Amino acid sequence: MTEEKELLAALRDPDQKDEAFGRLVSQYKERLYWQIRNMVLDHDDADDILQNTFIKIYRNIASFKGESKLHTWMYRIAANESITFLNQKAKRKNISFENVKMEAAKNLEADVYFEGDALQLHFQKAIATLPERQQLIFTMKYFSEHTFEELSKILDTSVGGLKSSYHIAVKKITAYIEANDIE
Amino acid sequence: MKDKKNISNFSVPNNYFATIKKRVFLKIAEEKLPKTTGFGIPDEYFDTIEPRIAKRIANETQPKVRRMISTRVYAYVASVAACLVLVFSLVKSSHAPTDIESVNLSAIDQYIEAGNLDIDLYELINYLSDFDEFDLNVETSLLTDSAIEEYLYMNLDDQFWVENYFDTP
Repeated sequence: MTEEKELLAALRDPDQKDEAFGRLVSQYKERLYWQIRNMVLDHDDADDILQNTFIKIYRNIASFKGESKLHTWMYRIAANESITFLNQKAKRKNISFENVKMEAAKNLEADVYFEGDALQLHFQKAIATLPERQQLIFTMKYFSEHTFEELSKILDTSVGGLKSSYHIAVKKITAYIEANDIE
Repeated sequence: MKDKKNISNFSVPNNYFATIKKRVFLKIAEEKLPKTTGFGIPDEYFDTIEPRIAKRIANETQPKVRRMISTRVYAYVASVAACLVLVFSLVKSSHAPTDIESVNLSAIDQYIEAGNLDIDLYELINYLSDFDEFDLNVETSLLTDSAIEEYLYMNLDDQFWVENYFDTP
């Protein structure tokens, strides 16, 4: 993509870096925010992680080799930051990753930035029961427009492995929703 | 009669037909799931992101003051200094002079009542005789002679002392 190449060149140029970075933030802030929010569920947490993600991008742009596309690299940083945040929270509370997510899902009931209905709330609880990797794959595939091929590059996993994980995740989620009689 | 009139050159991935049923059911299951999350955000949230990130980056890129001494060396020196201060303060406090005024009277009472001051009258006399000068400074200027005589008369049983040591008229 020529536009991305130009942006990358500007980001590596000290004279243009800040201006180019502003464009990058403007271009990707919403996509990265929603990717993060779908993982951590809480707005304030998502906001913190989004800022950390962009700062990490700013700091490390000089060392970005260009072996993958810039946006692939950015989505990967956002995914890693989200997972790291949840794992740190789990460690701090001495509970599992899934329990941290379940707590976050339950907190949505009183969250002013959650306007969903009972099914949407239950949907989040069902996602929370999945193992860490399946949650990441499911949320990145289900709520965004990533193809399996793109996801394969972002998460550095085979397409076959991703499809398998995604299908298992869908089955578990539907089973959870049916078992809890919410439809 | 032939089953296939014309044969195309199209091919399908391996196991395509074997897995089609599974994939269709999965699609049906997926269709039942909510299409949106119901998440909201504060008003104009996305407009605030750029300035906040720019501010954080500006703060982080402020020139940093470099220490002349590395943090590790500083930590060692500080640890040694803290140890020395602790040792000296302990030694000093263990040799702090203690006078009778600094001891609580009730503590002295408890000490004696507990039997720790086990000396009799003779030992006490020996202690007193060890002093070269036993000064008993009594402020007598405030007392009249007659008051002293009265006191001794009332408190000393032995008339001998009164008669021999005081000039009584």
